[in-house]
Amino acid sequence: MAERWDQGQVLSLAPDASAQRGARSLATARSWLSSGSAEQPAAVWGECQGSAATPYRAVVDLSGPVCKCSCPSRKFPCKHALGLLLLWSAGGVDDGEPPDWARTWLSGRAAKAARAKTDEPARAEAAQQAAQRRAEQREQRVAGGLDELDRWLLDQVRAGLARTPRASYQHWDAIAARMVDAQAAGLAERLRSLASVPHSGPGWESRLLEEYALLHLLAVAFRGGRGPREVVRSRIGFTVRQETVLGSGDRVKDRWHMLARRDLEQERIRTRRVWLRAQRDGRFALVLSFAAPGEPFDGALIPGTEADLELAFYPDGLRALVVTSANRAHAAPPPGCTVAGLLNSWARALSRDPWLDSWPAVLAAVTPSRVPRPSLRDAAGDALPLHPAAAECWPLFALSAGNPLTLAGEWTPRGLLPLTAWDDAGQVVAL
Amino acid sequence: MSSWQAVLSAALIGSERTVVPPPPGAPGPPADPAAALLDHAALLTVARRAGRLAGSAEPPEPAAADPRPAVSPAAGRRLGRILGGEAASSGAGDLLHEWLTAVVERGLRPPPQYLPALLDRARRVAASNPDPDEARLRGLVAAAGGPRAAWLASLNPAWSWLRGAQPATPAQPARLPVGQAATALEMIDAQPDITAVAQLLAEMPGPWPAALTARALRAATSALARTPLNASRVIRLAGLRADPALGAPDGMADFSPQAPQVLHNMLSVLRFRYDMLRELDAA
Repeated sequence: MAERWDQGQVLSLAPDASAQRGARSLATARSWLSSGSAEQPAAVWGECQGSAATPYRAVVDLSGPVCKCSCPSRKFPCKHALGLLLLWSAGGVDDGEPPDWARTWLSGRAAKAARAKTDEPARAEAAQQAAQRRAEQREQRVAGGLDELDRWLLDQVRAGLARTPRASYQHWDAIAARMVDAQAAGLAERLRSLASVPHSGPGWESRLLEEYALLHLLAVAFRGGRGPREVVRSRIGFTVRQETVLGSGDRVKDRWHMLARRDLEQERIRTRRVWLRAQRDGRFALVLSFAAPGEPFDGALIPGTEADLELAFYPDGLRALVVTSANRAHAAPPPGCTVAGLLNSWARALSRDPWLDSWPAVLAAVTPSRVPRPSLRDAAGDALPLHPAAAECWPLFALSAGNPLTLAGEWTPRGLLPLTAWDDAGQVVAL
Repeated sequence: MSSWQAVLSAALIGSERTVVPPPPGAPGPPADPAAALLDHAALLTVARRAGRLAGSAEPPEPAAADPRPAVSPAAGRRLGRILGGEAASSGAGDLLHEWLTAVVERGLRPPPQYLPALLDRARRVAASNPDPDEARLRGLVAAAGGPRAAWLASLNPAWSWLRGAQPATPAQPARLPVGQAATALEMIDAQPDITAVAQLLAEMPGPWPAALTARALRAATSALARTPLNASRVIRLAGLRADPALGAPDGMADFSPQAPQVLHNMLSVLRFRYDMLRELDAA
């Protein structure tokens, strides 16, 4: 005999109180014309005379439990099945052989369960094939999108950049939307950001041509399958999931120095960029974090501190995730390089990723100067311009007062963005 | 004309309407001039970025050395908060000139990165401002800023006001003689009328010792229900005239949460002042 349930267990299956009441009224031997229970398969069945001419037939597969009844009730389980179970739990149902109508249903369920087990590898494979098809479809869409982008770029250059409609964002929004359709969100973002170039001051035509040329380069690289594959794909918009990076990305354990931090405010999202450098091998890493507008960032990478970190790197070799963190401490001013050293390091980075538009700069003994234009001058007399957005960075000038200091920031083609400075007492100042 | 200039000119006019300079190594006229122009532009863009050379700049004349010691890091952070607007709306006025006065009196210098904000703040305040505190701000910034502020002003015409400003001379804070304080305490205890207490205290020069401040504040709180205006005045006087060298007034913890908001605001300002001055003395 199958192990019987108690009354409470049966009643707990009831969908509502009226089903419970109905079940109780049917839990007598009088209500059931026939009934039986078995162990293999664990089931209870019975025939109950209801208001219809033919008696209702109820079967319960105890392994679910799943109830089936021929009554028209829409409740699951219905009062007949529940009443039958109550009767059974009270010992009012004898062992027996399931009649044909019960056996058919029970064996049908058993067969379905068996099929599901053997189906599993087949289903997993089907899912994998579907994913592969989606990936192939995306490759085709992206390739098509890049072709369309390249044709658009050629059109711009044929007609002449002087005729760029400067006042309207529509010009770039339309082609950006096409890139979104092509599942190339990275390209869409680049195109939307071009809308501000005509308003970025003198020399905008030159900068616009540079951006168009780099987009053309991206299309050529993807089409020809040449160039740094992961960099190309990541800039087009093939994102790598965090789980993948944590699972298979390069792991580097070192004592890392937090150099500089920059927050970007975009309309839908805020991004925090933190640059780190490893103390042992001098490698740079960029850790990104995101927050909704108005929300604070979480994350504890503070410029001017150092910590034992294990980082997992993305395929581009620059962006990383923090896996573990320990022993955070205030750090001494980092060793910096000269202007020439920074330009060398930048050139090497460009050879790995020609689309790079920012690179970490840690400069030692530089003096901010305003003649002939706002710039940073190192001990050798070489100078780099400050980015136009930072030309009025007066706290930097106040900190220096004509004396050299250590500075960390981002080097961009338009100039250096100062982010962290160390004064003569070794104190960190965020700019 | 450099290669980039040639490519840029062609791109501006349009490859349909002008001759496109051929990319290096291209054999003969290109099949698609627009594509050739973009190819060329791409090559030049990356090459120019990577091949960038350093420029030159004139080293500025360094500012004269400032022999004064810096304020403590905690005091510096407080200045940042004051400049950011903290405690400015509690009805006791902007604490900036108090902080600067205390710094000048102690012969300290503020953290250099805040000098631009201080210079900007003082620029906005006209010297002819009728509020005597505000008018003093320029002198205070000049005194606190020292040679570094003068150096900055030489670089930014917006701060040229500094050249004409007289640095504020630190006044020695006069201390209330002990005997006089004792008399005042007796008089406060004897006076049930807070208006009379307020008038009495208004005539007494500051700074007051802590005990006097505490007693005045306690008298004011108990009188607050009856004559709120005068009680507030007592608190304000107590805040302005208390001598921090003797520590925070003992009575500050006694004030119940049911006291009116105005009292809480003034007490928080008082607390702010004591913490501020204690940080500066710890430097």
